[in-house]
Amino acid sequence: MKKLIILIPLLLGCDARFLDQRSAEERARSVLDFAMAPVDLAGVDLAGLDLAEPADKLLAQGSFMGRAGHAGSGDGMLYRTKAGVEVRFAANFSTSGVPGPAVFLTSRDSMGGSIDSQADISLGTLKSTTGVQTYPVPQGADVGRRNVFVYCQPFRVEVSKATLVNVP
Amino acid sequence: MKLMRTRLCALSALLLTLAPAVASAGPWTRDAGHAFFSVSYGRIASSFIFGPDFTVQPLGARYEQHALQVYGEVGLIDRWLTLTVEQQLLRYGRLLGQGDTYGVGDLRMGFWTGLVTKPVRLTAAFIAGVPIGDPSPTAGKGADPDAELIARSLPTGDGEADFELRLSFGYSFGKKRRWPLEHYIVAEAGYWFRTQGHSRDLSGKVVYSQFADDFTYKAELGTKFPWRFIERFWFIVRLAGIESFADGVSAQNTCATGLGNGVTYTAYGFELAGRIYKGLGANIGIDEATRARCVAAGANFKIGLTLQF
Repeated sequence: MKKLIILIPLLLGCDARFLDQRSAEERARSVLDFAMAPVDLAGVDLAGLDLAEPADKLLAQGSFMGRAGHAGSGDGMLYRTKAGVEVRFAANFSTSGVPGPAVFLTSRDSMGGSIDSQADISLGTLKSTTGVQTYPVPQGADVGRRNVFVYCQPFRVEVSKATLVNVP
Repeated sequence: MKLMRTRLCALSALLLTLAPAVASAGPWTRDAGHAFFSVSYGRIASSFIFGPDFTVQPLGARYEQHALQVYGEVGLIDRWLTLTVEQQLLRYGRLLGQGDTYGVGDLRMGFWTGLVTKPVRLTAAFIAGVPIGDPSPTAGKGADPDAELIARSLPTGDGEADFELRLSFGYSFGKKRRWPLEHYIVAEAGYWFRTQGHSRDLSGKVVYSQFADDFTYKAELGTKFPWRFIERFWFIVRLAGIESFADGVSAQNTCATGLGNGVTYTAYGFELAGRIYKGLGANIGIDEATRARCVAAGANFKIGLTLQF
């Protein structure tokens, strides 16, 4: 018995083994290349964008709501600045504290339990669960994407969401 | 790093042959040549987690953790030196319907010395944690990013060497029936130097790293009733905890279930420990956190066998 116990660490090695328990459908949804997908700007009407405008311009805004039993409130905005497009959270922003939270800009209405690297653009780790904060958006990635999610990456749970509506 | 962990893994197996297994020695050190050994199984399962801000948050899938743990203590020098070894031989983490990881957990070795033996017990310990477990399990080559995320969320170790200095106070009374019952009390306090917690992105690159330390504590009361057969059992109640000094941001960025910088809890527990035959015993217990951060919000059930001589 004792010998068997002693042998367990050596038999297993030190690296943890992983067993995938997802359904075939869920696996198929995931994409092998998780690098940010290039955004196809072909056919996008850029005529309305005043790229030379020096001051920050509000492109879209919306309010956060909690998802999946989590809390979320406050305003989120999409701005174009000299440096590029960025997502901003207002001073009244607040969301639940969860492990490994990240901010995503996506074209999907719901992220569910998986990240779609074509539709979902990670803007980085959530800086704070409350208050003003800014997240630069990769060039061109805002096109067609108006949903901002705070997402718990380790457990793949939507925490809060804001649907941004274009400002005329 | 992998080579180093493999060597530590082999070393841990060697140590287990030298030291007849674990727990926390506590205020009563063992005389030279005497030893205590236990092997136990623990399970925690929950659909909720205590988040980095201490609130209970729902998980996307039910989480389960099963652990097979060995603990041993052996007296090397009467009063002055007792060696303890504690290791999760198998730590199995599971997110139902998503994935699971299993592997060896971290190793902890303790050196205990008796400062005071009468009329109360006071013992000091130096405990070193050896990072044998896997802090960043991978789903393997060619795995999709979701699988990689699932694997990463189920580490089997914290990946950090750590050190704890602990003081353990103990007092027993009523043993010769001068008191209707036989009791012991234990009070412990420690400072746990945890070094660098960290988190990695999907490519394995460390994207956040920060030092954190903890205060640890325990209060325990054990009682034996003097009636026939029942006197074989210790009825134990305890309050134990870890108070991390990590701030909310550090906790948020390194948080995993029970591992990482922010782990904090205050837990109460009940245990029944009985003598079966001579030095052979068994125990069963339950612990549950009332206030916590970065641990699963569920009860931890334990059952084990003990041997002392």
